[in-house]
Amino acid sequence: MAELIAAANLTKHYPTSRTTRQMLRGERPVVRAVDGIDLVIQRGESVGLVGESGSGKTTVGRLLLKLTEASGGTLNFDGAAVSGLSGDSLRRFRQQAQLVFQNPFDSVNPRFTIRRAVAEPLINTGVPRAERDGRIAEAMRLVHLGDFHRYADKHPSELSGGQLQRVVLARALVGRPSFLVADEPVSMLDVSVRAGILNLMRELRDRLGLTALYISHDLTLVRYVCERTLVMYLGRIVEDGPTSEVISRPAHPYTQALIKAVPRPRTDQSREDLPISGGLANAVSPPSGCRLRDRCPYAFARCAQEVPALLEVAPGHRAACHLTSPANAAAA
Amino acid sequence: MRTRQIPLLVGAVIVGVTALVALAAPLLVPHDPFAQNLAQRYISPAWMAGGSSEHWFGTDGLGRDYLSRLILGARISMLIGVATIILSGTIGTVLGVLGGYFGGKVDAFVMFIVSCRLAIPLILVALTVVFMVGSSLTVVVLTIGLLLWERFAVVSRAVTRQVCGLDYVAAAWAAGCSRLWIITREVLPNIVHHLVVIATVDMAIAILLEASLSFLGLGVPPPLPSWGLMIAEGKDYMYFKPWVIEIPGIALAVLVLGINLLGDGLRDSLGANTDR
Repeated sequence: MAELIAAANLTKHYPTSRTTRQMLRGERPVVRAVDGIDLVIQRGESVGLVGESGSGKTTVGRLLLKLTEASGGTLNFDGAAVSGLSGDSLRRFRQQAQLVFQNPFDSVNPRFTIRRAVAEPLINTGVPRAERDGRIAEAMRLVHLGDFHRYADKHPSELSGGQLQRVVLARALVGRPSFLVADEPVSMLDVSVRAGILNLMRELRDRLGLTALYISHDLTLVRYVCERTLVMYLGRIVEDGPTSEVISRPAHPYTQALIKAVPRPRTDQSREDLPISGGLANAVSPPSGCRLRDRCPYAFARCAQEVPALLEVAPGHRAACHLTSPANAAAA
Repeated sequence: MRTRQIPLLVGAVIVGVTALVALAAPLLVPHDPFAQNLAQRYISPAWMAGGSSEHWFGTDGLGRDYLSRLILGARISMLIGVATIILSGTIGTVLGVLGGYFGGKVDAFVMFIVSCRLAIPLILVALTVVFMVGSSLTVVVLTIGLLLWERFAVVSRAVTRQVCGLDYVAAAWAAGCSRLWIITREVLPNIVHHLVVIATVDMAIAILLEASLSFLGLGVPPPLPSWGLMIAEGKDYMYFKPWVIEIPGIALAVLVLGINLLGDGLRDSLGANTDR
């Protein structure tokens, strides 16, 4: 397998408003939305990115698609540096890398018909008019809106959330992309239609061999669709491994907490057992060392001094925690 | 029919009838609106003592048929209203959409221009312009049009920012659409219903402004009949012949009311299609 996406030390800092004192001192405080992540996605791989709200997952997705300019680090797509793309090469990249949004009601222009909305990626990449209808019909079949002519001339307000999310998927697929970012693709949908969309995504993964990044706070989605899972906390990746491994043998305390937090019907386990409490730390001035240490019950002296590196705990499974690093296994 | 559509209907009828009258003015006038007849000054309207069906709305101080002048005046008012909002709408929308779309320095610049515009007293500028270049229909339209765009700018900036935050704009960007494409295809169609409402508000304001300017002698030059000018010309007789200001005054009030009703109704009915 070849690498499709390779990011090194990818960083996004957003400037925040300054107090007068900070302005006088010349300080420029930033929100460290994404703070130096390394990420490799192989061709054909489905990767899940999980973390709580504010952990920077969405920003990672936007960075990978060049919808947001990175503040630092490098990003290669198919061997070429994404930051250097412009004009025609950028347009080709846009055709290759597509996006599915959280809220289907916001992601289709309400003035467009479905046909026009799905056609958009084609119009701007110079697909001749004669080919367009065939391509649209093909994309609509892929997302099981096969009866294309029933929907083609409707407006988004006439479709249900589930249908609309299929339209959004069709729009993402119509340009035959090689990489897809799905940002919380089912979290705005009714539970009853989630399963349909999830099945569809799994099917698309198998049929098209699409490389995809699924962003979610919901581990069940990731377990269903992704073979590999990344866990993010406060702008950093804290765990990375095969999904089944990450879920059955989570190495990082944060991942353990995330898994325990998944609601289950009739569980014997009460929520009080959660090892992690409180909310996300401040991304403007994060804790030194390990960013989780304020909330982590296992934190010890080294956690405040040293940033834990992402080290292998099992083949293909890495975690950024001093507890699991070989040198400290004894100390803990 | 739902009750909330009644104002829209009333407004549309008033504006529609006025527009038709304005368009067909030369065919509708019973008399030459400029023909003076000093022997027939201040003839009362038909429904009052001394009135006749020869002059339904009577005659003015120079013996000109009041109905004919009112009809031609509708043409002036509508012309000023429409021409002004085309000019001010273009200026304001371009500025507002650019500011809202690009944000940052562009936005700061746009808002600075808007603040500068708000600091300019409209009547004083109009007075100066008329003093310097003389008064004509074109001067009035240009003066009002070049000064009345701030509402367009502020509203289009705000709604553009709102629309730009929606995912379909990000989707278009991710699909490789150019900025111009996004502004014209994704943003403008989705803010136009807000702009229609502003257009009606500003049209009413422009018509009233023209009337005010004409009343002050700074608007359309006589003998053109503007409703404001008719009120100005009749004001010396308002205690003796109140109808000389009542007729154009009521016409003005009804038209402005109609435009405002139309705007409110359009906002409600156009908004319903897009909000979910």
